[in-house]
Amino acid sequence: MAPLLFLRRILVLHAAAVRYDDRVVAIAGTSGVGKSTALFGCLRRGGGFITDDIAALHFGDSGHTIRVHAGAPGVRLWPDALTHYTVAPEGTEPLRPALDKRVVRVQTGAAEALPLTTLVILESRPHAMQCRRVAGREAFNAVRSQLHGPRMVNVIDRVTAFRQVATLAQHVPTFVLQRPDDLSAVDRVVDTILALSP
Amino acid sequence: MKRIVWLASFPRSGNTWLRLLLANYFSPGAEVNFNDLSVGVAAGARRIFDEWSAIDSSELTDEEIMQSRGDLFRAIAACMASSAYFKTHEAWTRSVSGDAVFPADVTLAAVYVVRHPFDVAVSMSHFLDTPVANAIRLMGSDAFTLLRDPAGISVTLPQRVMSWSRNVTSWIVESGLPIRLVKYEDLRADTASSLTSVLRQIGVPADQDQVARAVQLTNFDRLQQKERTEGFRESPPKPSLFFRGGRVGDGSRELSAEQQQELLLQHGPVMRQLGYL
Repeated sequence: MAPLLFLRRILVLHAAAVRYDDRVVAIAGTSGVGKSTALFGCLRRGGGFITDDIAALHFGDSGHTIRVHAGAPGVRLWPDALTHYTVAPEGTEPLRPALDKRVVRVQTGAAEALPLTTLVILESRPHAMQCRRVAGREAFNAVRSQLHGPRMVNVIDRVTAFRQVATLAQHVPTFVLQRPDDLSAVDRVVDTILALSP
Repeated sequence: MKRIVWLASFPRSGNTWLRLLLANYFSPGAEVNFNDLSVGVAAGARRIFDEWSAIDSSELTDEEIMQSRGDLFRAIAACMASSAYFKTHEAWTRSVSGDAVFPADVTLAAVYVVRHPFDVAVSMSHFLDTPVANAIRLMGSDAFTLLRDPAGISVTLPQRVMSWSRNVTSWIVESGLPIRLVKYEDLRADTASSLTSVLRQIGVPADQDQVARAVQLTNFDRLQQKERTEGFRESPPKPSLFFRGGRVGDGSRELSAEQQQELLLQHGPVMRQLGYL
């Protein structure tokens, strides 16, 4: 999916996205770091679903508004997260027959692409939680590492990707949120994400 | 393209310490940030699999992932301009289709670090915060797999470690790879010479000033101090140090006679091969 979107010059982050109040927050990170789990927590607090796992970004021809497209309405969760959120398996569907990962159907939040206001990059750390804003070179490197299928992107059009990553890092406030490797910390992760101001 | 150097070992055998020694050797200008090591990236990191495959590995079964890993390393090796170092605690295995997870055709060298199983048992017990008896049970099980959680996933792919004996023999006997066997006890007793021999194995001229500097920057007291003040990303979840002391002989002092006997029963033949008996 990501390489196909990028053929149309749509940058794809490995990220979920949620609308909360007047903000649109993308939650990026590597597989297993807890993007979907954090997204579901945000939805439980009244957030509106935009996308899970793949955040397709549209860059306008003029100005620096970056919009995130709505994805398929469903959040992909493992049994431990379903248990944490007390979601009954009956209300979910298997992602694949051979996997325990389930899809929780959710309401579509938006029909149109929405302006991205905040990017949160989730990282796993063994102990204390820490959140800090990054800028400049650090933001550029942090954003670049969140591309979905970056090797394919480099083959297709690395110059466009470079410009888009630079624009994103420059114009969308970016935070690195290090969370303990423990599901019990997810509520604090959600609190932190929802409290971030662009 | 034989560009990959595997840094392999059973867990708690000195692999991370060796990575730090190599990283400091290859960074003559400045001391490396031990939380951001470019030498010895985890071979099982999901990030690497996802980055190169453009597929979310959390949506693949373990077997599907295993079947692709040999080709993943081939793809990486084909794009590297110089050697790449990968760390692993996995046994050397093949997927069901017969392809090696750590393929010979991209392997420049493999360094296997082995440590006396008595000391491994004590260290694993502390690291996993589990009784020594359980650490010994894990060390004897070919089903021993790190980071496989049926209810969820972690940022690392499941690591099929297997028993201590199988882990050792899979690399040094079955793999057929050009292996440099490094005994942890030798690495502790004469770090400079062991590091020099590892560097030569991987085709790097061992500059003795740089070796001495790397050894000085990577001594255990210093690592413990840094771990206390800066934190280490691989520290165990419980309040305990990753660099606990690295002493040789803890097992003989701390394990009961029954526990030592159990390890001898499980691993005696391989211990004998390695000169531990």
